Amino acid sequence: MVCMRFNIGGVIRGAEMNLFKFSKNQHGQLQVLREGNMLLSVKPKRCFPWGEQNRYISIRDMENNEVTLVQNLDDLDEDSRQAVGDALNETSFVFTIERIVDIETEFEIRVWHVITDQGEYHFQTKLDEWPMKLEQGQFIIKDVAGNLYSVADIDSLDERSRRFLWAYLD
Amino acid sequence: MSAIKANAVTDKVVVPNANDTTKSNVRMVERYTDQPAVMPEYIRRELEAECNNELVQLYALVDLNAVMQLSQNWMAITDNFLAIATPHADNGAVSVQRIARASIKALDDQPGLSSTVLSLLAKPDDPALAVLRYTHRQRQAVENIKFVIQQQISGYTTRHDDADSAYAAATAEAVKNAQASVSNTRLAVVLRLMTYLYPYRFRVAVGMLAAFIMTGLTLLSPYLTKYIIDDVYQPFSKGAISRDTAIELSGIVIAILAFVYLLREINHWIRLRLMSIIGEHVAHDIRRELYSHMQKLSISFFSRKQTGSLISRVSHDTDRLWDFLAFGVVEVTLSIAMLIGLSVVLITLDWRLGLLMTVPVPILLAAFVIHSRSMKRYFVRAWRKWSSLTEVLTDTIPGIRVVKAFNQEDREIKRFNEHNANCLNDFNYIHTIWTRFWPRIIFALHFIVVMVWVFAIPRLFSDGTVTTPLSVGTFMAFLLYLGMFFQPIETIGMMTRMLNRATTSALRVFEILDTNPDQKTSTTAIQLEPLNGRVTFENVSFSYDGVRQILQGVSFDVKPGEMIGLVGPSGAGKTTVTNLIVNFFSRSSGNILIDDIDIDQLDIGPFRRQVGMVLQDPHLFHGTVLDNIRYGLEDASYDQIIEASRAANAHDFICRLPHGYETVVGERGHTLSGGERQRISIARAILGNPRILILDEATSSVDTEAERKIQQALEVLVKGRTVFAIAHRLSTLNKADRLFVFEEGKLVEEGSHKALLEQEGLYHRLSSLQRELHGMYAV
Repeated sequence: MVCMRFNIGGVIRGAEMNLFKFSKNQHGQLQVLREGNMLLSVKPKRCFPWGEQNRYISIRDMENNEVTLVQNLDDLDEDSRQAVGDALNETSFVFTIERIVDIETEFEIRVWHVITDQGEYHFQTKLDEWPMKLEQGQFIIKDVAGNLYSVADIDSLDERSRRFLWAYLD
Repeated sequence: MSAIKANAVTDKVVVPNANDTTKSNVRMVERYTDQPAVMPEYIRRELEAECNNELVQLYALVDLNAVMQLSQNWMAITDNFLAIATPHADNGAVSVQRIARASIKALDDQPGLSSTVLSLLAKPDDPALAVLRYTHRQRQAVENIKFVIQQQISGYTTRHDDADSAYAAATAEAVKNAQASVSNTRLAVVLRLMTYLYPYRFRVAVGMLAAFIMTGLTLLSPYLTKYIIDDVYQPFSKGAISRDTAIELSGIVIAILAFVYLLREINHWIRLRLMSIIGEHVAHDIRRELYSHMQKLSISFFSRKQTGSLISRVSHDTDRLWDFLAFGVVEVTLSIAMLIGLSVVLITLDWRLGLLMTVPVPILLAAFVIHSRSMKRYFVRAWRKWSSLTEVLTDTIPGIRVVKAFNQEDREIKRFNEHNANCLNDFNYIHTIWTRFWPRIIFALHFIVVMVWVFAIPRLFSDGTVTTPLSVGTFMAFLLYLGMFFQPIETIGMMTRMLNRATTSALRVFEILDTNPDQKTSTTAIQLEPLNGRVTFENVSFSYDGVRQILQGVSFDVKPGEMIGLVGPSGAGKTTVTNLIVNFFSRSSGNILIDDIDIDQLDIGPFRRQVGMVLQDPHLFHGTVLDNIRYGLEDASYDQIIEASRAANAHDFICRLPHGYETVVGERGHTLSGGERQRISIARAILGNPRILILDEATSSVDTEAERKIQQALEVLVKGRTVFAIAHRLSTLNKADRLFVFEEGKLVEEGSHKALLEQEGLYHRLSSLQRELHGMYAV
């Protein structure tokens, strides 16, 4: 199955996945090597950051032009998959909320005091910025600085946190 | 930017010589983030020591480590170095990685969902000198450093002299955009609001006095009932006084009662009238202050805030404040006075029954407060549902053509109905809870009433064995007083919500009043009249948000009377150049000179009067064509106006309008076409006789015929003035003396049309692209 397209100079050519090898250089920068081509520094970008974790990964060069589109990470060889996966992890960082300590409303902002997977944290949202429900049932809260906080499974939270969140989530 | 100054800082947040803005930023960082509001002193010391004792110019917290865990590393720049300090929690040591600034040749950042990975590179394909990871909260502070490094890479030097202020400002910015100042306590807000009553203090005092008298008189009528029963009827039934005396006494009581009612209503009227008038005055004062302050704020303030939100502050919020000041304050004060008065009267009448009545009151009040707090989450939920309902409306009504084109009416109806049903459920839920609570309070009050009966009755039937007999009159008075308890308890119970709404409105108003005009105003403003029209940019950089550099190191010198065409792709910074010329925004760095004088030293009013602007989408105010043409030049004669309109190719169509020059246009007025509005705005500009003229896409939104007429008008207008013209259609700029070609915020090419075509650079490319396009469509 053809899982990638290589796009150089505006020409799209079908190519077999095993023509591509992804690796990381000593500083963690993702690189791709296509047979007969030069080693190229690239950045991966999920086309569907919430809906598809392992599929439709756009591989982009340093000028942010698409080099190729990986339709499914599983089709890559083990080393390449690891390298792309690691690079994706660096861009997909979000806080995961584990417990709500308090949500207070102040003038024009809502102040959240939460326990995340990274420890205790405070953040603020605008009053009319409501958590977004994703198709997967996950909730995403965006703070004033643009940081994202995810509530993966509301049922796994404690009773008090759920009580706090009740007003904000469906 | 001046030379670096030493900043002595301690671990406690003390920013020396900090101005108010910095102090408020520091307070915000302390209050809202979990990070230090300044770089800890010991880290700074180590860092500076490692950098040959050069002082820190800018710094940022780098809050993620290599495995994307929260951590507390610091990145800073000094004159020659960029350093990254990593404190070790276990032994208090700090390790510092030092990189010579000169060795950084490129920056590469990869923005993620909540974080950015920034690589400092010596060469694009070489291994990175350092890789930094940080959450979006640190983005602005890091961007400041990135900006300096990028400037250095492009060969410019920028220096900062107050690292602490820059860091606090950058870190506080996100919150500050949502909320301009750390919110005060509710009491402070209410007290500040009260200061607006000060000019009306005499009338307020009279109004409050009337209100107190009214309350006192309300308390008097049950007492008169007691008197009639105990001191008139009882003695009469026992034969102690004659019928005539009884009737005479009763007559006096009735007269007093009538007088009390009359007096009460007079006071009621005085209070209502005075307080509502004062409320209107205060709302009027606040609106006046608010609007005139808003007019003085810079354009950047308006671009940060939504128009709707600003309008509602002047209209809706001041109205709420009127309500609060005119009625809320008085109602609450009176309710408290009423409860105290009732308690005193009841305890004086009979302390046993009095205490039985008054002791539960604070408990009931507390129940109200607790209940309204617990209701908050229900209101938030209902509010969220409500806003998703209105979102459907704001989505589909302007987009109705798309809905219909895709035949999605049924889907949209279904979507709306779902949200509507959600709202119904949540609002009904609130009603259910509220209707459950209120009967309980009434029941509690009734229970107290029953208890009063239970304790009073045995004492009422006194046969000599009862040690504390109760008179019938006192009992009757008690029953009447009981009824008076309900209203004030309810009012005070509602106070939390009312206070919340009033303080929110007050804060929204104060937020604007507390915003200082961004632009520096020079104390020695120079009046430049008449203007020659020379405009000089020296290495000017600008960013609207401090992140994206809209202009980078732009330099040019335009002689008086020269016509300059500004060209380049969208987002290249053309409009920004014109905005800086009229000082709508202040540049981030560099110098802008008008007739060799720094623009900051100019008295901006007279200067702007000599600058004319014709914009892509001209705004016509509601009013006549005449008013619109002479906007800014009220005393222009009809002759001048007609002359300007003729020059603008507008006179002819204006005469065709139903009421000629006196036709009302603008919102809700006569609709003019884009080309007609444009020609009116050109007439306005011609009338102003500007020395500097800015034409921003003046002909882009009209058809060919209208464009031809506008072009003719503009040819008249540009003569003898310094002109900056922006146009996408390069052919419209063929009369320009020089063209400035912009790309990504930089002035990349400069010269005449012919010279630029020969250069075969960006202008040549854009020009051939357009020729191709025109060729394609010119069938």
